[in-house]
Amino acid sequence: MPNIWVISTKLYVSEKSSIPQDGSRFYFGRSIVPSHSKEAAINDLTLKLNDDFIDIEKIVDVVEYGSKAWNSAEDDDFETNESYLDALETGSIALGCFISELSMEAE
Amino acid sequence: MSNGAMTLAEGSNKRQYKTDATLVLNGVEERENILRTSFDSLPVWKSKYSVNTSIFCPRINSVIKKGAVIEKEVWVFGVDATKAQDIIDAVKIATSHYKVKASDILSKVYIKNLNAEKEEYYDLDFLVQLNKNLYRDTTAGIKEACEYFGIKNPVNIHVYSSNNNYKINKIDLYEAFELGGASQVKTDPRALVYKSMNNLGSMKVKIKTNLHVATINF
Repeated sequence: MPNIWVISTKLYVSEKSSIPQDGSRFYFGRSIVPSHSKEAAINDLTLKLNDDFIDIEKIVDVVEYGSKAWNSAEDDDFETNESYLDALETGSIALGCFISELSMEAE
Repeated sequence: MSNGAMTLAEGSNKRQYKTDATLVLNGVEERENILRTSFDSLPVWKSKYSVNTSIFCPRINSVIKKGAVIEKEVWVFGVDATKAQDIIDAVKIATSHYKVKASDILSKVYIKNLNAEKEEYYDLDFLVQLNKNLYRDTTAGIKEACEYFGIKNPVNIHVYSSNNNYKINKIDLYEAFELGGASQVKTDPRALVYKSMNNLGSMKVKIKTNLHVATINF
C-alpha cells in the first residue's frame, strides 16, 4: 500500500488552463497523492498539474494524511477529506478544490 | 410575481457547485420553482460527476429530453442553450411538473461561466471569440424561446463571470449580450465568491466573480 500524502501548494495558473479564473496572481491547493515516497508524490503532482498548464510556485507543506485532522474551514474549502476518499477509491491523485488569492481577499 | 427561474449549463449537482439562482441586481429573491439544465446528456453528466442513479426520483422524461427531479428541483439534460427548441423542450417539462406558466420559469435565467467545449484545441484569442459567440447565441436562443411562449415582460439573464475572466472579459461579455438581442446590461457592485468547475468536471476552483444582468425587452 502506498502512503497517502497531503500536499499544500501555492500555484501559478496559466491563462491556457481549463480552470475558471478571476485574474488572481496565485492560487492555492491541497491535494491528496498516493505514493511510496514524498519525493515521488511531489513529482507526480507536479506532472498532473502541468498537464493543465498549472505550475507549482511553492510547496507549502507535505505530510501524511494520518498525521493530523483535516477539519478546518480551509479544509472544507479545499475539500480535503472528500479528496482523500476519492484518492482511496481510485488510487490516483485527487487535486481537491483550488482557491484563488482574490477570493481569499474578498471573504 | 414570478418566483421561478431557469439555469443553463449546470455541472455538478453538489450544493456548492450548483448555480445560485437567487441573486438579482443588488438583492436576493426567494425561489420556489427552479429548472436546472445541463448541456451534457444524462449518461455523460452521470459519469462526469459520479452521480448515482438512485437520486433520480422520479424520472420525468419527455419524448425528446431526459429529466429528473433531484432534491425537489427539475433537471433536464442535453440542453444546448444556443438552441431555442432545447430551451422550449426543457421549459415544457418544468411547467408540466411544477404546474406553472412558462413565464414563471423563463423570466429569470441564470448561467455560471459559460465556456466553449474542446477549449484545449484553441488559442486564447480564438477561445474568447468562441465564448462571445456562445453568449450571443444563448441570448438569442433565450429570446426566441420567450417569443415562442408569448412572453411580453422583460426577461433577465444573470451571468456569473469574473470581470477579469481571461476567457471572456466584461467588455466582450456586454458586446455578446447586445449582439444576441439584449437591450441593456448591468453589473452588480457586490464582490461574489463561488466554486466552479471546468467543462470536463475534472478541475474545481473557488474564485471571486461578478454578477452581470442582461435584459431582453419584447
